Amino acid sequence: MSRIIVITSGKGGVGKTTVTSNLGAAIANLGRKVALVDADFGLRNLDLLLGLEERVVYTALDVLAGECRLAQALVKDKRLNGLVLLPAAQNRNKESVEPEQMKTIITALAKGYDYIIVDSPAGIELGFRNSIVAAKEALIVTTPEIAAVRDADRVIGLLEAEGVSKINLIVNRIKPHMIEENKMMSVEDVLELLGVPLIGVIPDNEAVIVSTNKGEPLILGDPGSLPALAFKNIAQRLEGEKVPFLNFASDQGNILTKLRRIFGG
Amino acid sequence: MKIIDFLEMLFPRSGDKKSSFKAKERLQMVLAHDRATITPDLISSMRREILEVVARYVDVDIKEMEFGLENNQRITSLIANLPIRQVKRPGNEKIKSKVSADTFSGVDNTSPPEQPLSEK
Repeated sequence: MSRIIVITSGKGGVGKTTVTSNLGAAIANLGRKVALVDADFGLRNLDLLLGLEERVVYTALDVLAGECRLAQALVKDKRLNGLVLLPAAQNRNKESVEPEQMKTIITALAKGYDYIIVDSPAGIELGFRNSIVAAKEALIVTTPEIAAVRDADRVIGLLEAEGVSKINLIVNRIKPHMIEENKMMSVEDVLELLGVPLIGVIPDNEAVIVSTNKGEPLILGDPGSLPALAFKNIAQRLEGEKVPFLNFASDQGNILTKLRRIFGG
Repeated sequence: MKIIDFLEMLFPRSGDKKSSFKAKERLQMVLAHDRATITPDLISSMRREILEVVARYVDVDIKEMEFGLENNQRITSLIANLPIRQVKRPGNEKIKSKVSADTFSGVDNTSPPEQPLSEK
């Protein structure tokens, strides 16, 4: 039985595509067959983050138009066995895909892969509905920021209304030193507000940007980095393993934060 | 590090010191509102009809009653707190008024002791 998971957030710019590419690579690295589906028609970027942009020939739209077979449109990642990408069309109108068509494609993909991971566009319009139509599970990506949390809550409500009941939360771009100074909501705060189970915490880390610059998922480019470890842990939790959450309480804080900590301030 | 930064770190301005608490507080409010997909009109007609039914059996203290939606852990509940002034006894209006007179006699405070009925 393959798992169809949508990665969504409501708000744009919180890291959906980064999470999709890195998590997809981390799951494939565990020996699973993973198909990543870019559902962001018109504004595709998943190919770029995976470093596969030059190898895109056909897109999901070509498959729907009957111009190629599904297998022809899939871009295989040569660095990671079992990882493929179904690219979104860049040039055509994103209104041209309907939820039923998306469902047909994803159902066909599900026959050959353990995981189908769908990268949803921002917003809650047609593109979002296309991306959740076949999903059985959802990973909500949010950051500890007020607008991101509010939009995540809206999206969770919409997913529940559509019958997607297995919903887990990824809190992205955590800044431990700000949390320590109560300048940023903590993961616990966000969890309490949203009321869905946590599956991952990813620190705000330069390695993430460096890996996107190079088009190299962290598990390949910088496997020892903290965010790479965070993605690896999420992959293992998806596989049903119990992995403790990383503790970022850090040496990142400045000297006064440290002094305050020592004196219990 | 400039001296002013250093001083601010030692004596943080209360305004930005706990902005995370502020964010959480504001979100709690806004999420409760976002999650309530029931319109105010619907609430008020529901309130009216429920009161009609309850009023057949008991006298409700309308001034003290609470009626509204609350959110907790993704579950929206209707919370109604209807304090009862007195229980109506079917077919005996005389007894009712007598009890009422006795209860009120000699008590300065106009509101009689009551047992609030809460439904959750």
